Parts: sequence; C-alpha cells; structure tokens
Amino acid sequence: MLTGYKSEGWREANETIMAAFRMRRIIITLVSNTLLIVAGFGIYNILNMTVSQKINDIAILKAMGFKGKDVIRIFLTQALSIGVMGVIGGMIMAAVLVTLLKKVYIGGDIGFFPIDYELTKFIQGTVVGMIITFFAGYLPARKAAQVDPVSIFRK
Amino acid sequence: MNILETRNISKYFHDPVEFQVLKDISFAVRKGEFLSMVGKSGSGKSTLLYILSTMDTEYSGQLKVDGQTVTGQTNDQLAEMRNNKIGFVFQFHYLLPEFSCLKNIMLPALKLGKYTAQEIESRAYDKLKLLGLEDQALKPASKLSGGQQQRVAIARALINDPHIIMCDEPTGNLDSKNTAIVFDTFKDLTRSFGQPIIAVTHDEEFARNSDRIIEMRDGEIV
Ligand SMILES: Nc1ncnc2c1ncn2[C@@H]1O[C@H](COP(=O)(O)OP(=O)(O)OP(=O)(O)O)[C@@H](O)[C@H]1O
Ligand SMILES: [Mg+2]
Repeated sequence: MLTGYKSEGWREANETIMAAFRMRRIIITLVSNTLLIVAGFGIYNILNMTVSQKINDIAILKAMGFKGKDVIRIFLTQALSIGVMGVIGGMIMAAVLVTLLKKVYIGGDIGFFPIDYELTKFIQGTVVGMIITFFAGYLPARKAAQVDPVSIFRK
Repeated sequence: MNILETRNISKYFHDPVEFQVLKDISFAVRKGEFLSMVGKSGSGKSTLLYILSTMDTEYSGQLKVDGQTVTGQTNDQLAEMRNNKIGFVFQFHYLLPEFSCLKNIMLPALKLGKYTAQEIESRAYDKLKLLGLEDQALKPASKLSGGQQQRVAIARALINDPHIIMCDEPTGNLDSKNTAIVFDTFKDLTRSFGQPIIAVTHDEEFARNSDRIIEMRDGEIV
C-alpha cells in the first residue's frame, strides 16, 4: 500500500447489499415454486378423486369403444380448464396487487414500492402454470385410461 | 355366414384358487340368428360374454367376429371393433347416471362419428320410441326405474347398428309386458336386419321362443 487508499468497484463496496439481493431472489423463487407445486398437487388430487369416483363411468365408456386416448383427452381437458381458470384468476390478482403496491410509499431512496407490470413475468407464470397443470392432469388421466372395464363390472 | 365364431376358448381364474371357468368353448353364431344362452348361476355365462364382447382378453383359444380374428388385437383395435360392430347390454344396467337417457344412447354414436349430432339425436330418439321410453328421453338415467334403465341400455346397444348384439340377462328386471317388447324387438332385428343376438337369460319362455339354445354347465357347453 503506497498511498493508503485502495480502490474497489461498487459491487464489492456494497457486498452486503448484493448478498441481500441474492438472498431475496432465492427466497422469491423458492416461495413461488412451492406455491406452484402446491397448486399442482391440488389439481392432481382433484382429478385423482374424480377418477376414483367416476371409475364406473370410465369403464362404461371403454366398454362402448372409447379408447385409452379418448379417456386421457377427457381428463386432460378437465385439468387444463382448471389450469386456465387458475391462470386467469392469478393474472387478475397479480394485476390488482401490482396496482395497489405501486402506490405504497416506502420512503428512503426507494420511494414508492418498486414494482410494475412486467409482461415477461406474466408470460412466465402462464407457461409454468400450464406445464404443471399438464403433468398434474396427465398422471390421473393415464390411470383412468388403464381402467379395465371387466374388473369393474364384476364387482 | 358366421358373424361370430369361437374355437377352443378356455379361461382360468388364479385368484383365490386356480380354477377353470371356461373349458374349450367352440361355437358359431350365424347371421340373423337369435341365440339364447342358459345355465345355472356361476356356470360362466357372463365370463364368456365378456370375452365375446372383446373386453376380456385373458383367455386361450380363438375368437372371430365378422370373419376377422379378434384374438391378439391391440386394445385400441378392440375398442374400435366394440364401438363399430358390437352392441352390448350388461347384466346390471350400466348407464352414465348424470346424463339424460337420450345422451346415454347417443354416446357410442358420437364416438363413432358417422352421423352429425343432429342425426344421432333423432336416431337415438327412434330407438327410445322402439322401446317405449320416448317420454323419458330427457330425464337423467339415475331417475329411471331398473326396468326402464335396462331398456335404455338396450336402446344404446342398438344405436350404431351393430353386426352382433350381446345381452347379459336383458330382461332380468322386466315384467312380462316389457319382456315381450324386448323379445319382439330382438326378433325383429334378427329378422329385418339380420343382426344376430346372443342373450343370456334365466327366462325359460324367452329361451324357448328363440332360434337356438346353448346351455352352459360348469364352464362347458352341453
Ligand atoms: N374375478 C373373479 N375371480 C375369481 N373367480 C371369478 C371371478 N369372476 C367370476 N368368478 C367365478 O367364475 C364363475 C362364473 O361366473 P359368471 O359370472 O360367468 O357366472 P354366470 O353364469 O354369469 O352366473 P349368473 O347367472 O349368476 O350371472 C363363478 O363361479 C364365479 O364365482
Ligand atoms: Mg352372469
């Protein structure tokens, strides 16, 4: 050290704040993924229950000549309609929340809550939501497609 | 011409004990034939009918429908064959309880997709009329009496003009008047359209008036 000064970039100078940012991002990702998975389980459970309740009806359809893939289509349609409703509801709620939060004054350098309508986030949410719905619906649908009508009718 | 033919069909149940339900069943059903199948409870009639209807594939031997070997086909091919060629009435009337009678009858035809929805509806209505149920058309199936449900199931079996009709005790819940209606409908189908019918029945008069009787005893035709 010749001068007694040292230089450092703003990132290093604010290492603590940067760490806090990173932590925040990790937490947000974890929380939102957990929510998505919980929602996925919800859909999975609803459809699993429907399959058990309607097993007789599924057997009848198969006996009348509906194929495995027809049955899958019926249940996937149901799953996706739940998913679409969920996505639309979620979008509306997100838009409302953003509108409200934008007006919340936090103070300091930040001022108003730093949030805005971000199209990419909305698209991300829709895509991930539909993918999860698809898988949550596909598993019970496949179970339904494999129902053996004879074993149901014998009961 | 044989619409349906079996050769040496045997079937075993393994659970709870090894047990041969069907023993070397060989017979044929000709076009336009009205066949009754009789036999004691537990003799294997329903089990045989499930195999003939292509729903049960766990058997040995050979099954032919319309000259085509059915044994060994994939599940999708079998489903198509059931939709297209086989009308089936179960031992216990199995309708979709939340759907109207009309809709229940329409379903196999909507699946087949040969006619428009409108044509299918009017055809379904004709079948209901044939079985004397036109006034019940829009009621949910669950709100019908057992005998009415059974007749709706028969109407449904007829909707796709099947090449063969199979019934497991189609008149089990019917009074003599409705039994006569069903019998005459069947007789008429075999005579006018040449659609053969295999009907499992415990009704002696019904069996006696059909063209041929097959009796099952302990898994064998006697
Ligand atoms: N899943 C099964 N596992 C083991 N045995 C079975 C099974 N299903 C039926 N059985 C037996 O097979 C035999 C034939 O049954 P099936 O239902 O074909 O008789 P059925 O002739 O139709 O009698 P019913 O006139 O009472 O309807 C019976 O002894 C029955 O106990
Ligand atoms: Mg039986």
